[in-house]
Amino acid sequence: MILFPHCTQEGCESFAVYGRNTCLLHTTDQHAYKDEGSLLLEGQRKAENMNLPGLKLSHSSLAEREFIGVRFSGMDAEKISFRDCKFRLCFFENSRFTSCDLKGTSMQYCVFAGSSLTDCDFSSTDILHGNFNGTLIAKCSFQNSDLYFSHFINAVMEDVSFVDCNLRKVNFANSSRTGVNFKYSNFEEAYFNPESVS
Amino acid sequence: MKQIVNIEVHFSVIGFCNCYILSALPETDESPGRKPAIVIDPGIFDESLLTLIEGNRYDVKQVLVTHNHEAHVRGLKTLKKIYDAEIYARASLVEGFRTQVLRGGDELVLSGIPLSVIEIPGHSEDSLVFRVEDALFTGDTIGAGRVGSTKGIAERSLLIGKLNERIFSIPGNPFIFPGHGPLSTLEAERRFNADILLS
Repeated sequence: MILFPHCTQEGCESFAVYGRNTCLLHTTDQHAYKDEGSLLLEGQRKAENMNLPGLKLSHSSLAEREFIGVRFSGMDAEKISFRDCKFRLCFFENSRFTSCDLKGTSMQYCVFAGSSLTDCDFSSTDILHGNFNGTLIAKCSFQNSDLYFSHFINAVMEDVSFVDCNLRKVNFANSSRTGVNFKYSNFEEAYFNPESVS
Repeated sequence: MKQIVNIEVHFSVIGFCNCYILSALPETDESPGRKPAIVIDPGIFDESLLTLIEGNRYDVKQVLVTHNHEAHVRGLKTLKKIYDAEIYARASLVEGFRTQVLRGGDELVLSGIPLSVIEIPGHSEDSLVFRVEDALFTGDTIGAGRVGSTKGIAERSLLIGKLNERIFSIPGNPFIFPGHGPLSTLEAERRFNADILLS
């Protein structure tokens, strides 16, 4: 991944969005930028090193795409199919995923911190080194997934399935869990206690 | 003008350490045909790391060591057999190699990449964080949702104090590339790091 160039607005430290010299806040044509970003994702099989914050995507398929070093921060995705996608070094922090299909995806070093994930299917995924700290996860399934070295610290989970998952070095410290199912998973290799955080 | 930096990540199950390779974009003409690069924390030097370096035509010119713990430096001996790289660390001797000794506040340009050095003792006395543009390579000082382990309460207090003073005071939302585990951002650590929130 690359460290993105900064916004050219004087004194602004934010990253310039893809295809512009300014950050999302200082982009005057935000609607055009978001439309272009959505079209760009739909039209490419592989996206690399792009800063695409604040996109709003709904009712479409991005299945079998490959994303490397893409910053999707603050994304709002509803009923999007990411099935069998590959993500590496992607940032989704403070995003909202609703009724999305991520089945079969491969994720390495991706950050979802502060996001809300509702009614999403993460089953049969490889999510290695995923950062889910501070997420709100409701009615989601991670069934049959490899979550090696992922963190769910301070996450709030309701009705989440971790059935038949690899939880080696997964950290759930300080998380709230209601209706969370770890059946057939190696939860003894995960961390749950606050004192195991450090 | 900000230097655009490319970052590659390599993970090894031996020591569970993240190793990073940094190179400047566009490429400098320092090493025609090959791209001068920095390696941070070669916890192990295995075939996959060699493939990553050679496959991208990197020429490792410098190695930065966040701290002198085995999981972060064990690959140095093999790396030095292949690349004529200078080692930069807080300690003067690492794995038997003399280093360029770094101190907090140092500012350098290595392989065309400007970086600054921040001392964060606590996990170890020699722990450094390297700031490269909008990225913080934090070693074992702070990772996603936790701070580094410490020998005792005093060291933990020192670590959290220095993180608050020198890392959380950094403006904006730089990426965090820790020595172990998932990546993060500074904003995420401000909001969700359990050790910081509980301190």
